[in-house]
Amino acid sequence: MRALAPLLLALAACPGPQPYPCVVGDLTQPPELQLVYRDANGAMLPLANGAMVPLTRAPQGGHIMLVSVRVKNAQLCDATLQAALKDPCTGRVAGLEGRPITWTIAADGFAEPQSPMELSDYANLAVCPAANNTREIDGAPWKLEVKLYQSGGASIDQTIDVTPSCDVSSDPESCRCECRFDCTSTVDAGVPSC
Amino acid sequence: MTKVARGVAPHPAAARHAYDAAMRSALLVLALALPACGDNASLVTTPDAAPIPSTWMEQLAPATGLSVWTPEFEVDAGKEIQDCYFFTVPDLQQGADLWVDRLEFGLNTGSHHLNLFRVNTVYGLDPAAGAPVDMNGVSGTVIHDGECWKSANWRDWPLVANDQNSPPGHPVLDWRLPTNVAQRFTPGEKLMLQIHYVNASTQTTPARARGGVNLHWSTDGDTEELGTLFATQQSIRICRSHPTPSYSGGCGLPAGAHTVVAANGHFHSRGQAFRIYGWDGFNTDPPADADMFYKSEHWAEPKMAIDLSVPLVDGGGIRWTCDYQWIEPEVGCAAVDAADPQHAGDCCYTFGPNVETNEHCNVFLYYYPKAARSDITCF
Repeated sequence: MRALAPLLLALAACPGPQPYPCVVGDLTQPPELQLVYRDANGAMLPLANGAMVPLTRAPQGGHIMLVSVRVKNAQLCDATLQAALKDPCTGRVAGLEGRPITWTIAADGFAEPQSPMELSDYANLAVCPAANNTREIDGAPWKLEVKLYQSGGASIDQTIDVTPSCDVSSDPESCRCECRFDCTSTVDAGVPSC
Repeated sequence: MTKVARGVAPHPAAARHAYDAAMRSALLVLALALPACGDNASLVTTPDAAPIPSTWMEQLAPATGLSVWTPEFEVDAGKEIQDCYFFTVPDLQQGADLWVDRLEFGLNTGSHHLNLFRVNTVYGLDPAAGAPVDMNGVSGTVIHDGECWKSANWRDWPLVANDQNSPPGHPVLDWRLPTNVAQRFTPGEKLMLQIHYVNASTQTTPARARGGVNLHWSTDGDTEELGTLFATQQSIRICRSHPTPSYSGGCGLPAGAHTVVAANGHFHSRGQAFRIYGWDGFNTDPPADADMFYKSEHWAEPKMAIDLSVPLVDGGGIRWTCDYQWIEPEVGCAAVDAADPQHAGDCCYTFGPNVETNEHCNVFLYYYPKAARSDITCF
């Protein structure tokens, strides 16, 4: 019971009911952040440096990257995840999104998205089309910057190289078109064409 | 490599909760007090007794502009209606483009929104499948509800203009574009005028519903074309167990100097604050208050800022945040849960158009000169 005391204190500090503790791990230890992504089948997979990340058709159109994190030694109450896709040459951002995540505590002590099948527990990084883009997105190397803003103002950042890919999209042709920097759609064509 | 920053400025979502709680209390008191205000009482009429308000727009002569007004219609108690009206830009100058430098929007009280889009790829919302309709002398078609509710149907339809304001006694918004700025239309181009009316618990339509737009032709040789930007956050959730979420996004414009002339944000009754900021297109830190050029804390009648002159950084764009407060649904959690695609049982308002059970976080932005790569969508 004594071991549960910090957890109970942390829970009591949360504004409203929380299905997970406000603090995951030990705040005296360095935070640990593991990037994950959602694949085309709805599975949550580790996102390693240099990995290919599928572009998923979003419910209202466009194609998005679905990126989230597993985290330990951090405060999660009111935490906000933010992801940005950056041009490795210029640093210009092609897509940026921030949102809260609903967490669950995994067996290894990390907090991770509670609903990994769903879009809502990932940053919905809208990158195709991107009006300010000047280079290909599909199949090209980009920088992915992920920030977890904790309550109290602290943030945990991680930046890796990724290659967005239309190969596993449900509509790869449309995806490739939308990801071209010179894409324009035509009227009544059924699918956008370049 | 994981980087840790300690002691930086709190994210806006973490800092606003105490303020929001105080504001909610104040707004509740205000909402309870409003029905007692005498000035508005005479404006609430029965549907049969409701004429077109005297302050409605004037009919434009063909040489002056185009008046496209929907017929009046009833909105039954407890109902939401969303209709899509289609019409074609006329050919008045032997095929030459038409330029519009003044737009008037008319909305009888109770409207949730009026959006005007250019029809592009036809998915499930086909103008040809609509019923014939006369829109104040302009022939077209209308699709009632059904596919008109599904936003994916107009996912690549460029925004023309929008209006969300229909306060009692003031149904008309008169938007005159800045000097030398106008919006271009091509003869034969098909447009969609979409109106959403609510006569339920969160919004009411006290009389007959109607929406319309007056497009005034430019006659003074405007040379700068107005561009539009429409952005939306998808997969949002405002749940009982996590009642104060904040969602944010960023959208870049193509290279070049652009000036924002108008903007408004759109969310439903859980929305507390909608903010839009200028952005350099590089910085991913939380946006600074100094960069904010739009803020609305009134979901039902959000400010349509039409007097802006905000220069954006060359190659930059905008960022926005939507802050929410979960509230007990008037329609009950069972209805809200039924609309939750995740069936989480947490009374979560999720992305969608229904005012009672869904939420939105949409940006409508107007700027010039129009970017070469067409009108901009970010979602």
